Amino acid sequence: MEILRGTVLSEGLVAGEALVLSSGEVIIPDVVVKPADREKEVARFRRAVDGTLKEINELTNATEGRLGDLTRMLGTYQSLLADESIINQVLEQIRTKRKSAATAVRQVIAGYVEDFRRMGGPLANYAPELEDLGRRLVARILGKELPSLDRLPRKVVIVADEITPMQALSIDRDKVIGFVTQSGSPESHTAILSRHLGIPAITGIENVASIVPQGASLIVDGLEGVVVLDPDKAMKQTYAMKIRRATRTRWQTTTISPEESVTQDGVRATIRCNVDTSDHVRELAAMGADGVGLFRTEFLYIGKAVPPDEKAQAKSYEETLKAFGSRPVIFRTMDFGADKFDARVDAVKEENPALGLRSIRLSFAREDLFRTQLRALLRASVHGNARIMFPMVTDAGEFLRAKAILEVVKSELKAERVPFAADVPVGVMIELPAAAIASAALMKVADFGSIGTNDLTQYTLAVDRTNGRVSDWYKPHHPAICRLIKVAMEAGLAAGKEVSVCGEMAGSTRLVPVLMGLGVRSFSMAPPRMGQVVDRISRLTLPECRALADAVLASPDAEEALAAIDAFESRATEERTPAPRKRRS
Amino acid sequence: MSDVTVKALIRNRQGLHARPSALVVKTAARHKNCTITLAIGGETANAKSIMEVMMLASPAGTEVSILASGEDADVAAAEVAQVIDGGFGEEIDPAWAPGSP
Repeated sequence: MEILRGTVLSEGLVAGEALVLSSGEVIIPDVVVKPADREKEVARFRRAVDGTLKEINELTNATEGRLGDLTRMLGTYQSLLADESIINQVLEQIRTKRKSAATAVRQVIAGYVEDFRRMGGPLANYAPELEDLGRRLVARILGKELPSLDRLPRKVVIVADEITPMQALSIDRDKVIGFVTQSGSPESHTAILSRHLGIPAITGIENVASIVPQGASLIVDGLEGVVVLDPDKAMKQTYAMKIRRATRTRWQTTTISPEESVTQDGVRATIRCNVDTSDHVRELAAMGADGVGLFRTEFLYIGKAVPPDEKAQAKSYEETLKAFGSRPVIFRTMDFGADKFDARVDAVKEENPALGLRSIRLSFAREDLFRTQLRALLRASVHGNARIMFPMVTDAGEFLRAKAILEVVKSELKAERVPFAADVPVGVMIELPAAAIASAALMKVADFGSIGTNDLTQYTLAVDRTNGRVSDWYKPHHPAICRLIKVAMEAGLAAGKEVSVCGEMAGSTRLVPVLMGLGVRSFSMAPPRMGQVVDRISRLTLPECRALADAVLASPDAEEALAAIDAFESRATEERTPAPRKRRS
Repeated sequence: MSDVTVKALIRNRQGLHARPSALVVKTAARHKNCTITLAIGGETANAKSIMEVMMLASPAGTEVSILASGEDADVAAAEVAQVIDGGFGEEIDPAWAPGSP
């Protein structure tokens, strides 16, 4: 048995058999083509192009519209395949350099991939597609078809370095139950597809495709970000139970009762959900949460060549607001890096994008895009209880600068006689250590705050959580993080403003007691987590939470803090299992 | 047979990225017996190759020369120029809108 740790791209819990997609290049026999065989090689190349084109056309028809931008990516493949300069270069390599069709394709494609990567910016984003295309052509020429994913004999967990768009699209959706990959960002094809299918995906496990043997037994825990390879009997049993419970509490079919999120001693905690798109917003609203604590607007931009216009954005915001009625929906303005859609030649490839021109900084640099978003948000604001929140702010000055732009946009709309909610509350993300430390000043000017624990942990501990090599250093329970949260909570209390917690910490039943002890009364989390968190809160008392928080704060290191949390957790489990029934009888 | 050169201006905010490149290629490819080349500064690209056009990666405000040679060269060049000047049907950068100085 082996435990592999990664980062969750999509939540869920499954056990199954591994289908490992080897990324290893097909070996091309080293041959010099005789002049007499030249045209045979040319024909092989042309057949491979035609065959791949046909495959793409079939895929396009089969998936028409259903996967939106993913389907549109196939268009890129078609254009690349029909490309004159690729075709001419391959033909030249075959005809004048005596190369075999396979070698010629590999060399020509490799040259372009290198060029694309070197040029950076949006072109670099096409490199994986081009590489995938090259692999497909070579495999076809050599008659070594790549494993087909569209007709799988049984249910499998796909294990790979990375899933290419073509693989993602051709996948047999009834048979694939999970993904485990080495690399993949939250915007990757794997992430989009797995969320769409509602199956777990974990990324950031280095060399996973070589570690996991073909057909191995796997448990994919897309709640904790853990993959168990060859689980032993005890582990299998534990998970069988967890999976049954998780299936029962699938968010599509269950509702939660936030009014039950009251501690034993009568403290009510607000339970809100995090939302990425307005796709399933009606079902989400029907679950009964206290509102949306974090609407990640960046998913409107991801995968699009052109940023969405005001109308398209307003529509998505409006749908969400309408679905939630009088319950608040907190929209976080665009939170991503400049590389997303900067098509200019001078687009700089940043050495360190997490510390670069992103989020609110990008909103200032591209005020046009920011204004469009604010206009859309204000336009939609008449349809419900909207709140706006700025990400990646370091101090009150930056917050006020963003708010000033909002005021300008408001006066524009007023002049155009467009109705909007004039009193939309404007809040701030507390996700940088600087913001937490300076939270007293921030909470004086902002209407509310929301602690983004994922980034707060990443920036405080200097750990990239998508980097599998350092994921062990990602410790949200670290005493330093809890101290920063405490500072922010006290700032909110002093200013009389709500400071909530969004991010994975808010959805962790182990960490919620710590947060309660630190003074948090409002939690926003991924929808599947809400039921468990309500249940956990209903069994807590405030004094025990405070004692736990104090123990964590007093810990000299993360390990001791974790020990305190574990001890608290096991006491809770012991008390819970046999006791209640006995008392009742 | 004749050689034609027409000039056009990239006006859309996003510049010549992947989708516009595909449009140029699609337009150019309709003229089978005509060679069409885009020139920006010293760089040239075969207008029928998405790779080459994409690698020109030019921002709004860039002037493009369209060189066409062969059958219906004037029509081909004009069509490609129209696609570019029209901003590829995308949002126009106000600084480069037609009629602006």
